[in-house]
Amino acid sequence: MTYRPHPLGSFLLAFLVIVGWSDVALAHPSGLQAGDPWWQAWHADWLVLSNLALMAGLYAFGLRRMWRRTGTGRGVKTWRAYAFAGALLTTAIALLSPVDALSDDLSWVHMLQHLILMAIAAPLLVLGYPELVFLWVLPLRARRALGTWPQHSRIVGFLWRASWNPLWIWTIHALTIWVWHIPVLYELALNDPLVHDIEHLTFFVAAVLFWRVIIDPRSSLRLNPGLGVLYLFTTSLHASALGALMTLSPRPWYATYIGRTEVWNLTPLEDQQLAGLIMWMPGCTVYAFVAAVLLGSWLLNVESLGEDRHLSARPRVTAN
Amino acid sequence: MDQIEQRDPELHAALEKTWYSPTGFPEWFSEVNNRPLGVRFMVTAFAFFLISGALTILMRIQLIVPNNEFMSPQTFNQLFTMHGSTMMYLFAVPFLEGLALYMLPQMIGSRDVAYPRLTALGYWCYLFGGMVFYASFLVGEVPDAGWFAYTPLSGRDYSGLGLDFWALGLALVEIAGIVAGVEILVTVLKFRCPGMTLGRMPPFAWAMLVVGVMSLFAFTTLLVATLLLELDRAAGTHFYNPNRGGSSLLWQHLFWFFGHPEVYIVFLPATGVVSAIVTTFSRRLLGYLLIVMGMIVMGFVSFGLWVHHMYATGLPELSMHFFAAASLMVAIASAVQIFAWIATLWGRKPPMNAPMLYTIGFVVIFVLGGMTGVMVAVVPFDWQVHDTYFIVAHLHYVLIGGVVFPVMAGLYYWLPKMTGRMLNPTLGHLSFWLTFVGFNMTFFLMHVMGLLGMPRRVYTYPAELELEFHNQLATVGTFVLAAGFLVFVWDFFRSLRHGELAGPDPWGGDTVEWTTESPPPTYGFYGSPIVRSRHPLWHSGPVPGGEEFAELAAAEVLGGPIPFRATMATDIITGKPQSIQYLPGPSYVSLYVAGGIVLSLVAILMQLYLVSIAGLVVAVGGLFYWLYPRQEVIEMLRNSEVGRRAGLPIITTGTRSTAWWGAVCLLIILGTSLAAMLYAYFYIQLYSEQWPQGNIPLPDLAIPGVICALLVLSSATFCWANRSFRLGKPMAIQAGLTTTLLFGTIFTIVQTYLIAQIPFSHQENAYASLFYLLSGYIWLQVLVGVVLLAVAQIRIWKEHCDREGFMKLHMQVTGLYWHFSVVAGVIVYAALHLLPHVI
Repeated sequence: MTYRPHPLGSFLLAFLVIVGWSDVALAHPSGLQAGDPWWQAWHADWLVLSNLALMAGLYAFGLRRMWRRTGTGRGVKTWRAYAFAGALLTTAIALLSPVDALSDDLSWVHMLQHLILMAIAAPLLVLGYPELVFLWVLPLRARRALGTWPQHSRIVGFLWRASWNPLWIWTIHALTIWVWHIPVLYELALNDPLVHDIEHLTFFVAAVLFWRVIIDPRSSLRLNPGLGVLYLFTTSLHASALGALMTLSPRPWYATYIGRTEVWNLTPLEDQQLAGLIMWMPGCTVYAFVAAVLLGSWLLNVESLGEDRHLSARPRVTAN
Repeated sequence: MDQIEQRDPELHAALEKTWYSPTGFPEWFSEVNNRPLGVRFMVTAFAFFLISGALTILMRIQLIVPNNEFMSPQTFNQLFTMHGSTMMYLFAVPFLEGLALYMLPQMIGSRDVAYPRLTALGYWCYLFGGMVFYASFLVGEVPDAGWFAYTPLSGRDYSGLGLDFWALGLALVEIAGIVAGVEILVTVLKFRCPGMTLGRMPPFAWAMLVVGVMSLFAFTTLLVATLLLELDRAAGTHFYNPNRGGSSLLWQHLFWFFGHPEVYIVFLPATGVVSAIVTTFSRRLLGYLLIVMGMIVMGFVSFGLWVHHMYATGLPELSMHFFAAASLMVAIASAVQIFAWIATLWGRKPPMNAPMLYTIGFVVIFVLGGMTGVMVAVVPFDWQVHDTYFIVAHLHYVLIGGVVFPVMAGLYYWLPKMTGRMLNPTLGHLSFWLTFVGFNMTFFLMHVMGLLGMPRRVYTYPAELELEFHNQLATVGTFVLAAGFLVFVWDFFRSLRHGELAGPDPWGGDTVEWTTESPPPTYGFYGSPIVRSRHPLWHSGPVPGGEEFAELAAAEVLGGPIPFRATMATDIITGKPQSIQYLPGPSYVSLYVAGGIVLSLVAILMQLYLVSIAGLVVAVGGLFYWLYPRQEVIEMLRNSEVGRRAGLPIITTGTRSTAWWGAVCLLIILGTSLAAMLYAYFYIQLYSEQWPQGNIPLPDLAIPGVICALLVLSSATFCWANRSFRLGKPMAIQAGLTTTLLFGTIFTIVQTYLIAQIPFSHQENAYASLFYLLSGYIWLQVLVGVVLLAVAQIRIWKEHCDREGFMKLHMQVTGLYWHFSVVAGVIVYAALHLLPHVI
């Protein structure tokens, strides 16, 4: 099988150029006014950009190497590569686009940003199977060593197994969501860029671990989809409880937004209600949707064992 | 496959004897078999249905002319409260539970449900709960705050003793609901016959699986809510009292967090019934997968939607759009199922018999109810018709259309299986047309009445509204409707004696319940049926070969002589035989425990608190006796030949064991109740100017922190003990368990002391009530854990060599409970002690 360059590489490159090109300086608060062209408020955070570029580069390199060996679209299917590109794209949108700029003014946009990171970018990243593709960046020997590391080292083995333990991961994910919404910590993140980056990083990592347990490409490592539904269901329960508390609160929780939201014709309280609602309704819809898809595709597989699809009715009609 | 022709009469007699159903006094009370108990559930529920129906006739007579003085407003309030409560709590849920307890094991090819004695406990709690409800009539203090009992109307200031009857009766019925949820859930997961993969389960089983999970969350929340209400009423706490920092809207949140899923808890089983009937009479089922996904999405989404019952409570305006949109989404999931049935029926010529007629009646009425549901999901419209007869019409279209009609269809469909006699076709038609016409006469014009401004829950209406004709038609309709149900009752009794013999399979059905004779023998199935397709009776599937012989051999074993009650337990997903499950025989322990609970609750009614505690002791003692592993049973199972004959274990551990699943369900229940209390805590905090409220100082961090740390340590020492158990080091096990027990005991003692010296009373304000509630909860949780640890330690002294058997299971279950208690302790510490310092 000969290697032929995949259009994906150029796509990634073009995307990075576009993201890198837009550069709007930012201060806290965003300084945007109601009439301003907020959609132009892209900015280049070089930390984010270099990270994204690194990820894209490594992925493209690993994929190229792998596909050269296995053939294009094998080992890792083409759609997975697109999923990974989608993950980078949505991460960039969350962190570099006006979404990020406005998240300093409006808590609902901030919530939207977290939702994009945790409920869209993170699952897309998992679907992209970066764990395998990144391995292929390394030469064979290093790849083998890294791949068997959990078997050789007790600590790494423990961490590896823990990262697949649904109870642990569920708890970490839940804690991350709840703890960062405690006003003290949330305000700290709003006012200190470093803490803000840590917040986003922990959200993202927790979400990747969370989704990995149920939609990882390696079906043998995944949680059984039946339990996966319960895993998603309970998560949506606690997330909607937090969203409900946020929505129903008679007072705004985060003082920083006071004085900033009015520019956008929202009182701080309305702004917070919107944020809570985004977490509650659209956020939990994502979980319900994934649960339905997971279960549906799984049932198709479970059922196809031995089912005769051509049903012939027994010609028997009963009176009465 | 043929259950009847191939069986050996001697074995049949032996099985009948093993699975005997006790009769006579007092043995009748020790019944644990699923089918007799299912019948008791259904009969009791149907009796409540008829009583509640009689109440509506009285109300309709009152409304026949404007300004009628047939009854007082007070009586009217009592009647609509009892009518709603009875229909929701005493008819819809228990009837469907009973139907599931009876039919579910039959449909999935099992001999019984997972926890026979728990079935009995559920039944007794339900029966006693219903009796407490109706005992209020004897005292003359009938509940009158509606089936939802909104606070503050239902609080101690505005409602009398009647509401205590309501709350305590409801608590009992909720216990029955939770118990049935566990029962059904584990039965569907573990007791399907060999070959019945998840994807081959009948839709009814899917529906009950979803309902089982939903019940755990929904009923537990309601149980917590009603207990808080009763605490407010009896112990003077202030959870729902806005004058002392509580929140009366909190009740609505907790209630509707149950109440909305409740609609699906009764509707989903009904859809399962409809799917079964539609399949049988159209000889196919289209869209199985969509039906299943629709059910799961409905169950899932229903928990996020509770607020749409609260449109008129002053919610943030912004939120309305979201709630409305999400409510409209539910229509999609329901429509998927409806379209699947219509597609299934399309082009087939189903016989127009009673089950089919009721099914079609269901589709027509439920679709109308669904349409009005979409209308009231739209906020401005809802504000217009809120608390009018439009809502009355809507909810009756949904509930009678979505529950009663399918139930009637199911009865006409399955009664021949249960009684062995066919019902009369002519009477069936008559009953259907009377109910269908009567129903629409009663309720259709109520839409119009609502739009014209007739408010619901009001005992009369002025003549100027010009609604006399509408109301008279509705009243006449009620009588027609009642006649329809009475025709059914008459037909039922007539058929018991004169009905045509049904035979095993009167309809040519597709699922395995039609392989047994009607009524089924006490043991259900002779050998375990084997299923190879979604419609096993129409399609035997591929010819057995290879490994499937193993399944056959295992299934045959159950047809052989077994000295105890046994059924086949299979893999949760693939339905491969996994073990032979032992089931206990008749026992009074369920009645004893239920009696203890009832005594404890009724004593609260009479304010005899010492008696109440005595009742609790009785119940706990009974539970202890119930759950304590019996050595003779363990020995019998260890020495049994049956497992070896089948090549399957009898003693199982972990996810293969029903005990493990029972423990997991218990943790879900405990976790949900803790979550509900924490929601109450945070919700009340939201609306408080300062936290803690009043002059109460911030809670102490140090001592609670230390004992919380001890608790965390005890989790580690338990892990150590468990590890030593696996490695077979008896001394290390004892050391590990002793340390765990020590830490647990220290926690309990210190916590007792801390609670005793709290410087404020629980009646101070809502914060104080919540502080006592959560501290007390965690104290109790750990105390029970300490007892469980002690039991484990005593047993492991002798049994430490039993590394793969009962003792392993015992350690697993104890571990589950203990680790959960530790997590709960940390959460309560964080919420109660830590967060007030931070926020």
